[in-house]
Amino acid sequence: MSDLNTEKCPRCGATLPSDMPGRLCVKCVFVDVQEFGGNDLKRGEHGDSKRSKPSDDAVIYKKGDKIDHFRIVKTIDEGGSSVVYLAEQLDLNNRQVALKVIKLGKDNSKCVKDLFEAEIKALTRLDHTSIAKVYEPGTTKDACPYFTMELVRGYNITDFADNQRLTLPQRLDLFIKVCKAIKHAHLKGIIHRDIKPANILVVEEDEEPLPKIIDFNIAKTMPSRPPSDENVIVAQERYIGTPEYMSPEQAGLGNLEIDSRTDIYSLGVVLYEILTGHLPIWLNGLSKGQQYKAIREDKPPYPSARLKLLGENELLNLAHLRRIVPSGLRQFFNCELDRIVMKCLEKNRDSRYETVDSLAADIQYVLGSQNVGAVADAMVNTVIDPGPKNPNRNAMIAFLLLSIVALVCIGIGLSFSSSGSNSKPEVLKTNDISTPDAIIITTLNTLDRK
Amino acid sequence: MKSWDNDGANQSDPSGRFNKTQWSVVLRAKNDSFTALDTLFTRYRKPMIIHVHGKGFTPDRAEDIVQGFCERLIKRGAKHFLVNVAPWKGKFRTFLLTSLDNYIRDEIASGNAIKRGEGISADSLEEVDSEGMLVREPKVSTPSADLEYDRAWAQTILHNSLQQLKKGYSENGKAGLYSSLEPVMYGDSSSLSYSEIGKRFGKSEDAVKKEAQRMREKFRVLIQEELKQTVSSEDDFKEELAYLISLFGQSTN
Repeated sequence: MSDLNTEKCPRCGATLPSDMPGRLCVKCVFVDVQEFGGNDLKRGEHGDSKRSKPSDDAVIYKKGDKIDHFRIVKTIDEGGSSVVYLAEQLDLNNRQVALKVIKLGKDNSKCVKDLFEAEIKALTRLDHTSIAKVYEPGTTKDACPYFTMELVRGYNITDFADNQRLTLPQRLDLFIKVCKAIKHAHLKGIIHRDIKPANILVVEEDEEPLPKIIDFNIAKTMPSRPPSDENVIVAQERYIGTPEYMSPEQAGLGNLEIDSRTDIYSLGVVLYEILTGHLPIWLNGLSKGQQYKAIREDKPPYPSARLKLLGENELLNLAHLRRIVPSGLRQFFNCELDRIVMKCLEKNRDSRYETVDSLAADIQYVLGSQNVGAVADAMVNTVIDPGPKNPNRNAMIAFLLLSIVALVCIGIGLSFSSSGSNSKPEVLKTNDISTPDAIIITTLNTLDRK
Repeated sequence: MKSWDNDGANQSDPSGRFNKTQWSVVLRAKNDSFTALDTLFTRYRKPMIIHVHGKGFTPDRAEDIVQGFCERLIKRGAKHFLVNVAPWKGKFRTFLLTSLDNYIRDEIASGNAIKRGEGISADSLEEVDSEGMLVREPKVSTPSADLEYDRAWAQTILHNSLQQLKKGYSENGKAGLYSSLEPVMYGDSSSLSYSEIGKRFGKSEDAVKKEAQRMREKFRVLIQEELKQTVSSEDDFKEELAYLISLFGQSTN
C-alpha cells in the first residue's frame, strides 16, 4: 500500500501520489487552499471570487457603492492589481462606463500606483476608433487611483470570428484593423505588451466588425518617445503578459528591453490562432518556468504544417467555421501567408517585421491575391447554408451540381481523347474552378430573388 | 449532503464556523451521533486500513480490523473512547489514530477478535517462539507509519472533495464538462486545451477558462469544508492545514 511513485511535482518538487487523479499534487493543492485563506472563500457573484494577495488590503466595491459621480453596477473583471467595474456616470445620463480601480496592498502600493498612473497618462494619448477610449481619471476616498473608459460589449476576436463563421479573407481583414489600432498606439509611443484575443473585443458597427483594443494595463511608453517626463520605469519589466502570447524577450530571452516588436510577436500568435484555431506553441500543463523556456526555444510549426497535424474531424470543424472545404483551407495557406505568420513569430526580433504597418501591408497583399479563395468560400457557404426561400432550391442545387460534374467529366473525357491515353489527368488548380463557382452563385442569387 | 446553487458554490457552513460540523456535533454534545460518526468512518476508512497494514497485518486483515473497530466505536459510542484518548486536540484525525491503536492493543490483550500472530504478514512470522507463539507484537506506531497514515489522510480529504465536486457538476448536468476540466484543473499535460474543450461543449475559450477557474475555487471551498469536518475550531483548521502541507515537504524532498 505504500506509495512507490517517484514522479515529482514540477511546481514544488514533492512526490506525486500515484493514486491521485490528474497527477494532482497534494501539497500544491493544500498550499493553494492556505494561500486563498481559511474563511475568505465565500460564495459570491461571478467575477468577485477571483482573489489574489494584493486584494487582501484592497477595498472591494459592491453594487450601489459610489466613487465620485459613478455608481457601481457590478464587477466585470479582477486582476492581480486592479478591479474593473461596470459603473453608471450619474452626471451624464447614467452613461455606462468601465471603471478601473487600482488595488493597493501593503507591499505594492508605490510600485503599482506609479504603474497605474503611467497607464492613465499613456491611454489619454490614444485616440483611435479601435481602441477603447479613456474618459477621466480620479482618486477614490481611499486614495486609490481610478479611471473610467469606454464600455466595450463585444466578443473576443477568436470567438467572434468563429461565432460569425468568418471566412479566412474576412479574418485577415479584421486582423488588419487590429494592426491599424496597434500602429496608432506605437506611433503614440505606447507598447501594449499583452495583446491577446481577450484584449481584442469585436463589436459590430454599421454591420461591419470593428475590433476594440482594451486593457493597456501593462502598457509602457517607449523610452525613445517624447516627452521624457512621461516615460515610465516599470518595476517588473519582464515576465509581464500572458504566456501563450508572450514574446521570447518577455520570457527572458537575451535580457532585452521590450520594444514594439514584442507586440508584433503577440499579433503573430493571434493571427496564427484566428487562422488555424490553434496556438503556435503548446504550453498547456507546463510550469511557468517550462513555459518561458518553450517560448524562448520551441519553434512553432508553420500554419500549413499545423493543419496537416489535425485529425479529419477537427479539420472539418475548422473548415466549417471558416466556410470553406478542407482542401480549400490547405490551399489558402500558401507560402506567402506561412511566411508572414512565421516572420511575426521569429525568436530573434530583428528578424520580425519592423513595424505593424509592414505586417498589415503584407497581409493586404495576400488578401489581394486571394480572390479565388474568396469565391471558393462563397460557394461552400452557399451550399452549406441554403436558406428556406425556395422549396425547390435543394433539388435545383443538386441538379446544377450534377450538371457541373457531368460537364467536368465530359471535359476530362475530351481532354483525354485529345491528349492521348498516356497523359496524366491534370490536377484542378484554384483558377480552374472559378467558372463553375460563378455559375452556381449567379444562379442561386437569381433563385433568392424569386 | 452538500447543496449547489446555480453557480455551483457550496452553501453549507457559509460562516466558516465549526458549530455544525459532524465532528463538532459529536464533541460538543458529549453524546454520540451515530450518523455523524458512521459518515466520518466511512470517509476515512482508507487511512485507517493503511495504518493497520503498516503495523504488519495483511491488507485483508487490516480491513477486517478497521471494520471491527468502527462497529465497536459506533456501538459503544465515541464517549467511551474519548475518555482514554489524550491528547488529540480536537482533531478527528488524531482521535481516530489513537483510538484505533488502543483498540488493537486492547483486543490483542483480551484475546478477542485479534489473536496473537493472526493475519500478520509474512515478514513478521519469522519471529515466533519455540511454541509457535508470536514473539513480536504487531509493530508499534513508528513515526514513519504515522506519517503514512497522515499522508493517506490528506489524500483522502482531496479524494472526498473531488467526489463532492464531481457530484455537484453531475447534479447540474455538467458531468461531461467536469471530466474534461478536471485534468486541466491542476495542469495535467494530457488534458485538452481550453479551445478544444470549448469546441466540444459549444463554449468560447474564455468561457471555458472561467469555468476552470470556478472549478478550482469550488474545489478549494470543498477542501476547506472537508477539513473543517474533522477539526473543532478555526485555529485547529489552520494548524491542520499547515501540518498537512508540511507532510509532503518533509518526506519527499
